[in-house]
Amino acid sequence: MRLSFQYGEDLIALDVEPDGDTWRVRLPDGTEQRLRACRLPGDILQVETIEAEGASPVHAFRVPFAQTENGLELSLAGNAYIFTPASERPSGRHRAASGNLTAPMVGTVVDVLVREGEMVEAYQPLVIVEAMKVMATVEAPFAGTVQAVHVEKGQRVAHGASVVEIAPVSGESENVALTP
Amino acid sequence: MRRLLIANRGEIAVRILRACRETDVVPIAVYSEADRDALHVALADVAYLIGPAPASESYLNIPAILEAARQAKADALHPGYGFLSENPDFAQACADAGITFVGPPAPVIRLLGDKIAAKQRMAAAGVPVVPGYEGEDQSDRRLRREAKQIGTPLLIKAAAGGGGRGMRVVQAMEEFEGAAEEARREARAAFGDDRLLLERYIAPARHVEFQIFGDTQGQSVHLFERECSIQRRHQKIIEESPSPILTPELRARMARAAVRVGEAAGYVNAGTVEFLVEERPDGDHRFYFLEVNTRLQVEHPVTEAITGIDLVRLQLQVAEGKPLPFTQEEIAASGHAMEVRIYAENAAAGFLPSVGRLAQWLEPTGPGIRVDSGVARGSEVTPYYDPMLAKLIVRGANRAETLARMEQALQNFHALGVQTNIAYLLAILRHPAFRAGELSTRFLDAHFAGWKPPQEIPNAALLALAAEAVTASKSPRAAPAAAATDGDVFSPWRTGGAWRNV
Repeated sequence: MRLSFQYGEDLIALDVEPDGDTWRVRLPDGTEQRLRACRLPGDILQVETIEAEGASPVHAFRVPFAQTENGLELSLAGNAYIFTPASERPSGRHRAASGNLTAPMVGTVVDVLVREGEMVEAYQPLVIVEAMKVMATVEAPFAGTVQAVHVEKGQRVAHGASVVEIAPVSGESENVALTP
Repeated sequence: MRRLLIANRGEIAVRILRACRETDVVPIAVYSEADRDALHVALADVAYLIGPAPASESYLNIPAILEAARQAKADALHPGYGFLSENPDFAQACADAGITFVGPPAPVIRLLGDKIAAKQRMAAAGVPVVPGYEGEDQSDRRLRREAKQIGTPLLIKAAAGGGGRGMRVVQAMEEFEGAAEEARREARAAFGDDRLLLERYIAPARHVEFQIFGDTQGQSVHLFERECSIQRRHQKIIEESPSPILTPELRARMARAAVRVGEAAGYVNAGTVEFLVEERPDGDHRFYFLEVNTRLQVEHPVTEAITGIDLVRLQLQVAEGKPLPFTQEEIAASGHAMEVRIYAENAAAGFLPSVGRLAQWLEPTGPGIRVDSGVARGSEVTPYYDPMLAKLIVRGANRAETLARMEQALQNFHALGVQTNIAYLLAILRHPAFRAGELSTRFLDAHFAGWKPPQEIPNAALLALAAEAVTASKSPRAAPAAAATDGDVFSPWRTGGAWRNV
């Protein structure tokens, strides 16, 4: 069977076939590995690569994991890898270039710099959100007109909450500027 | 001292709590509404709610904290670091309420918190200070004349400053007026005090600080240095001792200056004297007094690791009026120690704080490894406070052994559910300049501007991904659903439902 995952912008496919008490896994680089796997208490994967069924492991390692709202998270050698099922991935690129601008993190609105009806330039700061002494600026992704302002100074916002909506000036493509 | 109120949260509250447990002092915790389930609350004998989540209404709320101390019959208070730890009014309020403040007396905190007064006092005591202007005449004309005298690049600082606020670097004289006005405005807003001082801007430079300790009998000692040059936005992230740059001769001269600073200020309890070290190609490095942090430092475990002295227990003893239990000659340092700070932040997206629930939290263990943390698996990381989750401190016989151990320990530090800077720290530790000890306060700007975590996934992670998928059907959560469909919970075609088979 083929398992498909999304990792950031990349699609990853793993071909997995059962073989006795082991699994044959074909990796994206074309190599094939035989593995044995189980789950240890505390959400830790025990992974063993082996030469053949019944053989002792060539390499054994443990990987803590967690299913979170971000997806499946794995911690390995100082890196955290987050995978989402291929079908459920929201289209981040499209969202970024839309005129519905969202809070980049949970925090408090410390400044609202625009009003409804105001014309804005691409990259113009619109709203400043603060959390843990860090300021994050919501900028206009393109030149346009402010359609709605959903927050006010001092208000708490959730990550992803809509803060400002802008519409592009006519003739301006929606895809000129992607949020960095 | 019998009952100690810990006016802080997170890892430092836990650290102080442990010291209480070792000395038969009853630890009393305080907490905000956001910290009801925090580790420091769970570990304390008794805990008092002091207000809503925002720090200004809880951990910075002097009346609420003093009221908790009164109710808890606390006879002493430890402020930790940050929050009210360097607030002279708070130290005075504790003294007025008959509560022993674990730290220096209020007038000492007040003197050293004023950068102009502190610099004048230390210059008079013969401690080298950065050449500049720290006069009372704050007129535009005078500042401009002094700035011309100093020359560019120059640094504008707020007299009451801290955390980089009210600080501006001026590269050319025509920028001076605008920068001074900005610094004034920022300082007035942040500290209610817009006095400025001007200094020659020394860069690249190293940040080397000395731990000092004074007792109420008038004895002052130092406990060697910590190099904290690796900073991002004035925030230290890696600290170590000994400093790779100090020769025994320079160390001795700086240590003498640090003790002189303590004596000149009438310093009591634990403090840190910060110096800037200007590297010279001829090896004749210069050092300049920067400021004194009148509290326990975040990075105090580095000093504990090389000296074997428990600084928090020593703080409690000195606060009780006991003399230092050793002389300068009896304090020895051995080996090498390093600390890294684990932050909940997204290094790939401009270091924005990352909040959420810690779905996994596994700390490394082993010889020479210490973790001071204020969280556990399941802890909620909220946006209200500093994003530091834990400190990882390792020690080894020398710097090479310490680096290898730190790398090993970081690879075995697992945190999921929020993003952390662990991969970023590993990248810094592996950088050739860091390994060579070539540190400076510009290190991260020079080598890590725009850093992104590696995008490629090692095959081991992909194998773990496959392992998760193929074992998913056996998990208690997925098993009943799988069993209900065809009774074969071990079928490879049942993958728990979360993943799409194509």
